[in-house]
Amino acid sequence: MKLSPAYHLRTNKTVERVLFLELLRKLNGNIPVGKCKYVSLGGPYLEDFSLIHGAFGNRDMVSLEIKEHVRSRQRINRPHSQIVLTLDSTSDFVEKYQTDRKPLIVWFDYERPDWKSQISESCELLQKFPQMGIFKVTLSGKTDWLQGNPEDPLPERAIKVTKMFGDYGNFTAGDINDDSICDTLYKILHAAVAAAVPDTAKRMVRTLASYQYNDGTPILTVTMIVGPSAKIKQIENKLKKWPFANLNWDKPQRIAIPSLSLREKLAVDQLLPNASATKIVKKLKLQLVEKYMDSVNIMKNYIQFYRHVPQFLRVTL
Amino acid sequence: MTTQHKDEIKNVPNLPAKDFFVSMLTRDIDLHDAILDLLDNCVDGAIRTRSREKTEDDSLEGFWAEIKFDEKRFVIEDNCGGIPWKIAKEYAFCMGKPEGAETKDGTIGVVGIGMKRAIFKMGRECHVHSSHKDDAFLVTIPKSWFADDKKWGVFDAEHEQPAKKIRHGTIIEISELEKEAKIAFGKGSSFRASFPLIVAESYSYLIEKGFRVRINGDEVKRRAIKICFESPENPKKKGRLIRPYVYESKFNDVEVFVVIGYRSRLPTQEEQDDDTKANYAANEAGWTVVCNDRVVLSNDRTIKTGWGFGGVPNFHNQFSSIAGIVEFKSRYTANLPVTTTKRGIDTSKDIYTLVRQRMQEGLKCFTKNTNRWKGFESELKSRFDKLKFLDLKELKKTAQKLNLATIRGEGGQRQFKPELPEKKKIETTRRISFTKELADIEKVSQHLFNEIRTPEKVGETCFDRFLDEALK
Repeated sequence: MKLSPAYHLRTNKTVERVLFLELLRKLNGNIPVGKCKYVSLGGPYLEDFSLIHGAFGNRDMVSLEIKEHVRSRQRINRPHSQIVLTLDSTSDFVEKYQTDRKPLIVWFDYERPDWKSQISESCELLQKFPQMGIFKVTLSGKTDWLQGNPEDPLPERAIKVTKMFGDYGNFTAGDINDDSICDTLYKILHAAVAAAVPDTAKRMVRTLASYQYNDGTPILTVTMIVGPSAKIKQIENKLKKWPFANLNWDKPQRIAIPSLSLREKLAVDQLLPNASATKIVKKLKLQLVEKYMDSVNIMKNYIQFYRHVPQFLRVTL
Repeated sequence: MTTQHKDEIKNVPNLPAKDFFVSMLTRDIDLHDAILDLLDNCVDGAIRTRSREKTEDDSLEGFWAEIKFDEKRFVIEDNCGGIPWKIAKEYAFCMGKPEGAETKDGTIGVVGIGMKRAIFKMGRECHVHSSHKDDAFLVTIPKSWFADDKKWGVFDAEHEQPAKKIRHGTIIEISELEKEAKIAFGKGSSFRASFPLIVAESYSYLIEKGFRVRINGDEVKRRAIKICFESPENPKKKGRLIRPYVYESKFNDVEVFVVIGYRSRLPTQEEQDDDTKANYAANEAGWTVVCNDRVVLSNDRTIKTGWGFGGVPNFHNQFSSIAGIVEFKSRYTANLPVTTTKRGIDTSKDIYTLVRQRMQEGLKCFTKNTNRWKGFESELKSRFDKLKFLDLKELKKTAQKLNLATIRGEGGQRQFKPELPEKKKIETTRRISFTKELADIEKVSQHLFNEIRTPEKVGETCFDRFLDEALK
């Protein structure tokens, strides 16, 4: 039996979640975030519900969950009484959802890879999404479910990916390794969304943020907005200076936070924001991995996100 | 009525209003088709210009076209020889090719409207730079031309220095973009994602011949269809082999080549169910029609290509491993069964009706064989795993060595009907199939194996256990 790791064991995911909140704060004003209906797969802890309700006071919140035992934990963990704990799957939600004027934020945080149907139902939902709604999708880049020859599985897996997404290209082993799979999924998602919701002046789908990270599994997460060209332009202008924005389907940013001890983190943070990655590595003689340049690159990524990196401490109650 | 009045009643104007003319010309063509028209002109230029050696090899190696666009302008440039001044002077900028205009073998352009239609579709100002081996010139279609109903006749042209980068080629730069084009060409647009895929599909065979297309800096990669051919190294080999149906003929100046077969192993019932659920796999099945190397219809599974009538069943996921290619070639493009947008088949052409009968004959070989193996698809898996899949070029080459049988009638028709492997009739077995809740299947799987296995395995093991019990 497998339990999903908690957020505090997934540093990169935690950073990404903090960035999502920051994005919503920036959008607040253009979109009434607090009045939006929030729909998500909160898992047993409903952490995203707690954060969003805490930040914006959303009352209309719906949890999608298919396992009864998880729902029983949700009943204990739910941060407020207004959250509707359904036993619906994402596809149930997509099927039942009827477009209305209520502003909507949906996060499909898929745990297992089933790309074709996940991308397909995401596109189906985007087709009926309300104007100025926010849709976030998280896909797992695991490829072992595609099986293949145990000695060299990638070529056979690439054939299966081509079979699934032949309309979007012929994929090779090089497109689906741990480093490249998220970029590949991103291209596929973009092409699928483009085909499902072709641009018009009144309605288009654009990315606001997209990231890839690896807490043991490659993960791609993309936040999109649906709306008229002019309003999306306004938002894009607002987000232009935010370094974590990813507009117009540009390449996803990579979050790769090194695992630092509390002492290491404090030592590094004391030198920031002025010190460069090279300077920090040299000054603290902090070589995180075997190769010096790799250490510098890892530190660069830490510097990029350090304000959002959490530090978890054990608390005994 | 006075004499003065009589002098005035001489003629009446019949000039088309610009706005009407331009909107009528462009209303029924999609933006991507309009740009494909410009790409076709590049290929036609390459065919006009290529050396004798390349013509003999039917190669387009070394020729390229590059497309760049953003919210302000669209540019397409190529190294395909440029527009000869003679053609520019006589008809290249006219609205339609005049009667008797010279056509080079194997070109794609049909009615001589593509370039103008594409320009009008995208914008309201255009500069065409041509650098031909004999002349280099610039033709400007100014913004003012669109606003003046009386301004017909000529566009201004001037000599200019040949462009260094492309040596001999053409650059078309369109600005003052129309609203639709502005949205399409903007950053992150759906068009930016879909257009390269359309080019990859439509230009698959031209790219195979060496023609290169770059869109906003990215090279377009071809999407080839490959069909299973058992023992291609020994075409004369006899016996029941997994080979395609092949047909060839020549009606007047139109050469026809048809090939249909298995593009992958037969899907098992479980895979077919998955495919239906996720609506995939079948994407690459069906007929692809190629006219003078340009894909005009892709993976079609409708009545247009013979599915669902004349003894051929409707398409179903069961047939998702069947794919075919039909190739038409002619020096007179007008004789090809293609629509003017070059993105569809003109099914009313006699030649197409005739060829479609043969397409159906080939199709039936494979739908029947697929039915014969229904429920036993996995028995062929190991055989398919060892087989070779050939692309159109390789198939044509191999087909030359096959024993094609002559068909009576005109057009020098010949065909090869494969003898596909037969399923031995085992009437002592029946397929058992039923549906249960996934959660319940997983529970049973855990009970049986302490892990999650496929529903097929779970069902089979349950049956075997009870069979053992029954036999005790």
